[in-house]
Amino acid sequence: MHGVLKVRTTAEQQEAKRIEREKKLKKLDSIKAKIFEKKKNNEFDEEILELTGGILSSIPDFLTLWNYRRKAIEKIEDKIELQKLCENELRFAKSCLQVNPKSYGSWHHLCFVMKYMPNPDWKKELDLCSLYLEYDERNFHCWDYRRFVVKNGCVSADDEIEFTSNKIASNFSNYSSWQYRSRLLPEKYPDPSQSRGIQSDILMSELDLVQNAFFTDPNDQSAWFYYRWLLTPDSPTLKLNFLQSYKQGDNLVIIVIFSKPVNKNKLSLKNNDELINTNWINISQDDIFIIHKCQVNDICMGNLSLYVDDQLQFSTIDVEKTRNDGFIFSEFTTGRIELSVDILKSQLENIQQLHDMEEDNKWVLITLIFLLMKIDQFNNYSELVNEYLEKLLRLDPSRKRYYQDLRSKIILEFYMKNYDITDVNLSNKELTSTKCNPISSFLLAKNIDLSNNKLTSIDNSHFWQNAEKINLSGNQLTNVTGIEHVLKLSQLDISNNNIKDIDELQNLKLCSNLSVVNLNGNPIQQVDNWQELLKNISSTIKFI
Amino acid sequence: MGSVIKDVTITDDHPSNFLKEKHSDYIEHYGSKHDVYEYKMSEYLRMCGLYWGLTAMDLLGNLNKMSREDVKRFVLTCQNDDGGFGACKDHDSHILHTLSAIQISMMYDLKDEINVEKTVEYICRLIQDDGSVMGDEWGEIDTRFNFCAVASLALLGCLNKIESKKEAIINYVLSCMNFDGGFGVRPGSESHAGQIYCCLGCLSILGALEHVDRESLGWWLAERQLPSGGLNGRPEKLPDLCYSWWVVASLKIIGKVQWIDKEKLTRFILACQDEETGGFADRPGDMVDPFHTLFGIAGLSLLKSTDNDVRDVNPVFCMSQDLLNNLGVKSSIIS
Repeated sequence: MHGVLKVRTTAEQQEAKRIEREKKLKKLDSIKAKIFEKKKNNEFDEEILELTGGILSSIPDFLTLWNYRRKAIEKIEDKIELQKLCENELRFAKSCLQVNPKSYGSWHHLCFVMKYMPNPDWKKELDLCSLYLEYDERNFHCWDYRRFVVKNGCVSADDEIEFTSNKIASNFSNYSSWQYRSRLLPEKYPDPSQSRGIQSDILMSELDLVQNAFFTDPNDQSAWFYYRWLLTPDSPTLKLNFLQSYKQGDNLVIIVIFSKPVNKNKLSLKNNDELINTNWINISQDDIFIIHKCQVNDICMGNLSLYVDDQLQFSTIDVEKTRNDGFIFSEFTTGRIELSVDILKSQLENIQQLHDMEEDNKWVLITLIFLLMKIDQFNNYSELVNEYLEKLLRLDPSRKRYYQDLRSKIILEFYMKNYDITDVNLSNKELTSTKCNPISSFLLAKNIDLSNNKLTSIDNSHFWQNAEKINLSGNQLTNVTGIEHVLKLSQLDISNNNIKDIDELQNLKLCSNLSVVNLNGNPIQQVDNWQELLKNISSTIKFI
Repeated sequence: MGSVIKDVTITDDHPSNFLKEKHSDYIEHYGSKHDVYEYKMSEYLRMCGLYWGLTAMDLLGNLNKMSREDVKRFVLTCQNDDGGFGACKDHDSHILHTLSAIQISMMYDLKDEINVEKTVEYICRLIQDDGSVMGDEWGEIDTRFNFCAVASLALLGCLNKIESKKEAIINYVLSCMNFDGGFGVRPGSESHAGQIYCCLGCLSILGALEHVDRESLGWWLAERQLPSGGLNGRPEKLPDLCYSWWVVASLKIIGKVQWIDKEKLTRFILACQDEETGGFADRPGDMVDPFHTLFGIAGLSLLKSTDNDVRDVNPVFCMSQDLLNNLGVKSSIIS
């Protein structure tokens, strides 16, 4: 039940309504009985159309009854009769849509009949869609029916682009039309070498159109989402960003990070063209498909090669080097086709102009941040972090965490670029998340200091593969989930967090090298017997 | 031409405490009292309705108040010769009702009573070579049905039956992905939070969430939250309680639930309760129904905002987590 307001009625009104409804139900029951009787006898004739019509006109989602009508249609062999019947069916289904414009059953019946009838009039249906979309320009059933008509009635993409242009011209706030254009433009004006796969002159005029929209109404979401898409290039090619291999016991360990997600089942290793038996694991919980790890028996010679889906990704993992001091390859590239800096800068100019007029508009701010990050994140660091994101947090507190995560990312990337990669100090940075690009940043760090931030969970630990000392004191952690990925960990400081429950520390025992854990200032210390209980977790770890 | 945000206002007159017992009573007696008309008029969706009601009761910890025998009798009479289930006795089979019937069967341990082999055959027949799924033999295609088919088979422990079509199903669902990171009914259709939930659920069960653009989609989903705290299903639409399920479950699956304001949403959900009759409505002050009652309760469970009054719900199957643990049914979620 959607949008039916609860109204108070008198006892008299209620009684009248009850009687009326009882009558309706009685009628419904008797028609239903007749219909199911006829169904039993396989009598799908004109009468079934009449009977089902009586119910469907008020309950258009009674799917079984639409099926019976279709059975009746399928019985007709004479073409002229069939055409006439189908025309009636179209009329009937449309009358049901007047009752409920969102009835799945009625819309599907239209599709079925149009496909089945001898001479469908696609033009008429297209006009009907245009008419319906004037009443409700967001009815997604109608847009979908329109696309069905366009496909079967061979309507050109040009005509449809024009249709959406007209819709947008009459009302910029028309998400459905923008969405349709995102499908039509790459189809009609393809250019795989350009951002979004759209020819550059078309892309430029599209940017103009959408700017018109948000300059007219900067509070409307539709245009902003579409604008963001036009400015965000896709990443057609997969790139290897990082590879580390080292010896551990009798095995060689290999860690790989890609520019975009890959399923572990697509990864393979070859030694001298021969496939090696490997079991890849997703190290992480979050960027599950970007970072992978495997172990292979140390019996290989020469080089190992890495494949994704039979495509060579990296050919020279030096086994000898791996065995001795370890082997590392690192190259950060997204594989994206970015828009030129000139284009981005001219866009930025316009957005800044709008920001001057609408300084408290969050959409303008979000877009400003987005463009500044794209153009030069490091030079714009202070404005981004101290001004714009601060302001967004104030203007739109409901999505606070989204902005805090974004701010954390900018802060991390700024500091990581200058850091000694083996010794990372990021204390007192108000971080809510430790996710950043390149995600391999943390991978070589031996000491990681993230103390006195606002972390509520350990969200990036799968990249801390080489960390031995980690300081997380003064955060808001309630558990240490994720710490189990840090296999080389020997010292952990989680003092002054919010860990209450001994069970939340069970994962610590999975870190076999861990020797010291600082737990000072956690509520856990108020648990009776806490020191004894900790001993049950591990007898080799010294808890302070 | 400034746009006005479509939203509702919540006042102190709207309920703000969770009325657990009232909801339990509402579901227990649904169809027997004043709402008998609505009940009879909604025969065409009875099996789904039963699933909504029973799951709501299960999450409230009151499933024992419902008659297992009645439910069993009803479900068994709805299985047709083709192996699928209809909404009611004599109704044609449909994948929507088939999933509901299977979910109910799992709740009541009826797997040995229904004809599983024929059900599985029915579902597999609806899966097309291109990976799309029909709702029934009449050929309607919709990504909701991809979820229904895959979830049904997962619950029955028969996902191995579609091993050869798995890649095609994943690719079909991905072909419905849009510029905003969301998903629609068919390729080219506009993103809609309900379809997004179905597509993410399908990809989660098939272990293929790596293809989802979690940053873009997470942001788009977070922007469904309106000043009232309620969520809409698409930009520039009114809030509706059922999106407290579709949007929040989707955010949960992609690990971004912290990007919305949980307290405000909880307030909106609680305001949709009817203090007199129990049950939840789509918006504060509207008529209640079992559909919104389930998604109100399940939404509160996802947000963990009622202490221990509601049992944990699984964001992919919308069934109690304990039950799925017992059944050993798995889905992937990014945490």
